Amino acid sequence: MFKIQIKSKSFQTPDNTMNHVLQNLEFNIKEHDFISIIGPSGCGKTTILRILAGFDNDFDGSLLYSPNSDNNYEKFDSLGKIGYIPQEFSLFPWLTIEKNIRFGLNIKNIPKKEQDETVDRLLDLVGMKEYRKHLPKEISGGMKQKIAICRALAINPMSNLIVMDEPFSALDAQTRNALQQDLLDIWRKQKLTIVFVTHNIDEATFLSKRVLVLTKLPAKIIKEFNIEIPHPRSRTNLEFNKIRKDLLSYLN
Amino acid sequence: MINQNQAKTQKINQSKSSIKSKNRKISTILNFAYFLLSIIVFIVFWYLLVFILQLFYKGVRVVPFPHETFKSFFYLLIYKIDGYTLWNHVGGSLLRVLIGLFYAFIVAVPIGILIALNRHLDRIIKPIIELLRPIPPIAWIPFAIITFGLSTVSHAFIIFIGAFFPLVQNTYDGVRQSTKVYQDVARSLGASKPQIAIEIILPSTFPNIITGLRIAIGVGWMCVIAAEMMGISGAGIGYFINYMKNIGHYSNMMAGMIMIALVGLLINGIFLLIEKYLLKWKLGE
Repeated sequence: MFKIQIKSKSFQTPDNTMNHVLQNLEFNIKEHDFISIIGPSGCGKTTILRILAGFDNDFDGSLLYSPNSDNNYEKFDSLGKIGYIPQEFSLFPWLTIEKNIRFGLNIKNIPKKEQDETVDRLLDLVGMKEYRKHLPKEISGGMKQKIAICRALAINPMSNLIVMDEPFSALDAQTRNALQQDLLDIWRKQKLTIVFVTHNIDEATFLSKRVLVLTKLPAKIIKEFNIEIPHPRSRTNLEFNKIRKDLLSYLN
Repeated sequence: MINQNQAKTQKINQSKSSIKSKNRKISTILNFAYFLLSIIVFIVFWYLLVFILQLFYKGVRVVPFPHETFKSFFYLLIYKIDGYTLWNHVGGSLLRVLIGLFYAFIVAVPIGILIALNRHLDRIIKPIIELLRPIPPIAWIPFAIITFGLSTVSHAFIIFIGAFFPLVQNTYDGVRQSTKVYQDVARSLGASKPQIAIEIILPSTFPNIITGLRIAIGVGWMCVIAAEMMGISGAGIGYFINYMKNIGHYSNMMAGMIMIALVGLLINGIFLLIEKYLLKWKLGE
């Protein structure tokens, strides 16, 4: 189990004034959780993910981890230990699909045989075995994001935790809906723990077990929703629409 | 029924591929026809220019006709003048370009990477580069002659100067533009700073380095010809053109110019091949 405690996080602007972004923000991430973070544009959602992924250590607070989920937390450095999927298409364009997935495994000096098994298993998971020798420019946007998930999973992240920063925002509505379903399948099969940033209320309601709603700057959590509708969820379901309306009212 | 449908689909596919191959053939023939037409237009224009200039200079012919130039060109490829064929001259010039380019490459690329990655080095070195960059490489020729004498080092220095700035600037831009998101993802996968430099920044900068090299070789080629024309050496294509102008052998002079154009085409072709094979991931992105 993870715990994120951010007392405050500020940025220095080019004219040397301090921009206070996050304030008194704390939440837990349980095993096999699916948390979405929503909030107004520029409220610091991505900053939370960057802190969680270990890119940004310049904040007042700490990242905590409880190996046995028994509330005995210890500080930990998450960089290189949890999966990260950014907003833009991020596959390295000069590497084939297969080599993209191998990247982290090579960095960690994983033996070739083990790498082969991992690549096969992950390509099989997303049904893209025949694309292994393709270059990223030769596959669609949706496929790129699936491979980005495979690449993040290849390094065997701590507690299967993956953080995703609006990963489907560059896709058309149809592809986005299909990928949301695919993501849920992978989440269930691989017992993943996901922290998902989105500005799309419908997406957050469709995917998440919990939704954290942030305020404007300096952002803090104003409401935490537990969504108990079982997966697969129907967008026409009454309860689904009620949650969506509630989320919208908090955002407004 | 299914077999009938399969046969139909097969037939449609066959006719589709035969149409495609026919279209490809037509497009190749058309391309070749346009190429021929462009050469014919060029030669006709050349003849016209010679006739007009002849009228202008009252019957004195300054510029040789195309057929005279091509005759000299093929003659010079086989027979030596003052101990050198046209091959020897162009080979000598190309070698000088490659030597200068080699030194420019091994100095400019690391400097470009270093100043792009280190803010302090950037602030110290970039102003020096910006100060020296506007000086045309040809303006360095007198400096090269008084410093290194009439030697290969002078040539190498001029070409080095010409090639250094486009290489350093393109490498710098490439590293700066190297998408931050790739570096973030590599960090999240456990890559260290040196690993990010080698595995992410270098390959993503590679297209810019190739562009820099392409510009550098063009500038280097210009520099070597200018340096040879200014008398740094007693051989080379620039020296040859200037010498033939001085002795009034204009068809040989023009043959030298044709050789420069052909070498330019060759260099361009080599770069197209490099892009096709090494930058396959970038083409048509």
